[in-house]
Amino acid sequence: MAKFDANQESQFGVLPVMKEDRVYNLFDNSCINVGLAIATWCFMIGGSVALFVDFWPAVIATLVGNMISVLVMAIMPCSASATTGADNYTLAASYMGRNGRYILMAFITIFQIAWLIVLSIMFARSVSNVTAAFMGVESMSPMFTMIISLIAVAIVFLVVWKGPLVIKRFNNVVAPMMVIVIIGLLVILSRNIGWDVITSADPIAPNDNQWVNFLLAVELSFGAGLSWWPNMGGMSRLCKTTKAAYWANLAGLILAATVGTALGVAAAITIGSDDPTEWMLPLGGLVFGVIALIFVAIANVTSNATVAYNICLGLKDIKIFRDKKWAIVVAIFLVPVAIGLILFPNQIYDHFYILLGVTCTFYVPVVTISTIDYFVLRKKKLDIRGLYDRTSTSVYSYWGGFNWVAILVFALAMPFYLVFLNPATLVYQTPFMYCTASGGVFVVVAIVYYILAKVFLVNKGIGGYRK
Amino acid sequence: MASHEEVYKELKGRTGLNPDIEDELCRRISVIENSDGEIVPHLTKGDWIATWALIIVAGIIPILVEAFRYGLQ
Repeated sequence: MAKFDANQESQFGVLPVMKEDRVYNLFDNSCINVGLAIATWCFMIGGSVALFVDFWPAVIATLVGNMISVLVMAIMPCSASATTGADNYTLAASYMGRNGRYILMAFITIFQIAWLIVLSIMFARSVSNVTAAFMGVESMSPMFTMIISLIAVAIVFLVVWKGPLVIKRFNNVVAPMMVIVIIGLLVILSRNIGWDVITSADPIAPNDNQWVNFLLAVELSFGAGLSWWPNMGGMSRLCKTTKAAYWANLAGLILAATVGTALGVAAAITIGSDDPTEWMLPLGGLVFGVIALIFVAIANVTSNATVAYNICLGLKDIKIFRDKKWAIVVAIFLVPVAIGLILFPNQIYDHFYILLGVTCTFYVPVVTISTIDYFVLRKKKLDIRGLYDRTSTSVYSYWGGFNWVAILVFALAMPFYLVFLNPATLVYQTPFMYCTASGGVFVVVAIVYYILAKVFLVNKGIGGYRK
Repeated sequence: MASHEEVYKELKGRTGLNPDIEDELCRRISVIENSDGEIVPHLTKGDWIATWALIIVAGIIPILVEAFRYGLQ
């Protein structure tokens, strides 16, 4: 008889989640998705989009970018995780190699730490502004804000420690209210500023070329949509159906994110700030402003909890963490977040758009390689034993545990992005005007990886592909 | 048909997990393999049609419309 709780071990560890252990239906996963999507990052993305386009083109660009990128990004992790019960990082062994997947995890861990820092700061700013309003002062001290950001980390720890059921219950309450709050904020903004003013306001710093401006807005949304990739598998494996895993993204990462981004755009091009903590109180009044700020603060916690849960699932499969209790793994992951918040919070926060751009260069090849490998090369058939075999006998051993074909393509794809666009400066090159950077990289990586994989892997019987 | 014992024989000591968890893993893998690799069914043809329809209607067509409106300047 097992001396452990198998259900717990699957929710907080590497065991595939079986049908009877699944806890999310479409509504639950949609709420989690909405809770993930609506956080301060969508306002900040809105602020970035507002640099280039005015309101309606921004809404169109955001919807278009989210629709294409999220549906393409999510199809592999949602399908594969739901059907096999494995998380993203276990599945990554199939296309990166049983050791190569740790390269992915290393990058993603760093990115997720940065995202958690950004959202914790926004949580702290929300709480600070509410506190200042009640105390009748202009603002709270930086020390106060820092302490609150650390409290945000502590709250995330508590939620993630308790696991997917608490995440579900939290989001089932918060997510619908977040949508109402966001729509309410749009109404308040339009009442105070005027809907005509919002829809006729000029973008903040556009290029001369309107088509390029629109494409830059689409590209920013591509980046946002693709960067949800690390959060897909952990939740999908808990869904009762593959449809619940996949279509929840429509409600959250596509539609809710678009509404949140639209709010950020509207605020940025009229008030000059996408930071809702700066204008919610003056425009919304004390009561609604405080309510809205509280929900924005909570929204950042729900997002952080989902992010942290997913990455900690991956970390749990690393040898040094495997036998550690879930709480310890979560705590260890959150330590660098806390250190970042103490030592250099603003350096990360103020360069949010660079973070978005750099992560885009990373996730485009990851999404492309994983999708082509799973659907085209493997026809959705994975060797389940190979996913969990950590030795050289695994079919996913490739060469020394690394799929060097995927790693080479991945390594070349990241700088190849610069052929189209510099993600840090948003300076574009001519090819960008015809396909965007993400679109161009996706197509080229798909073709190159397919050809190289066929020649060096499939035809040579390496990697467990069926001929 | 993959049995628990067959999977366990192949994976024993190779997963890096403690023996109890490894045994449970092997049991689960045998169940998955006996379900043709799927704990729950994949997305249906209808899901794929809906996905492509959304990508085209709410993704590609608006981009083409905006391209036409702005012109490839």
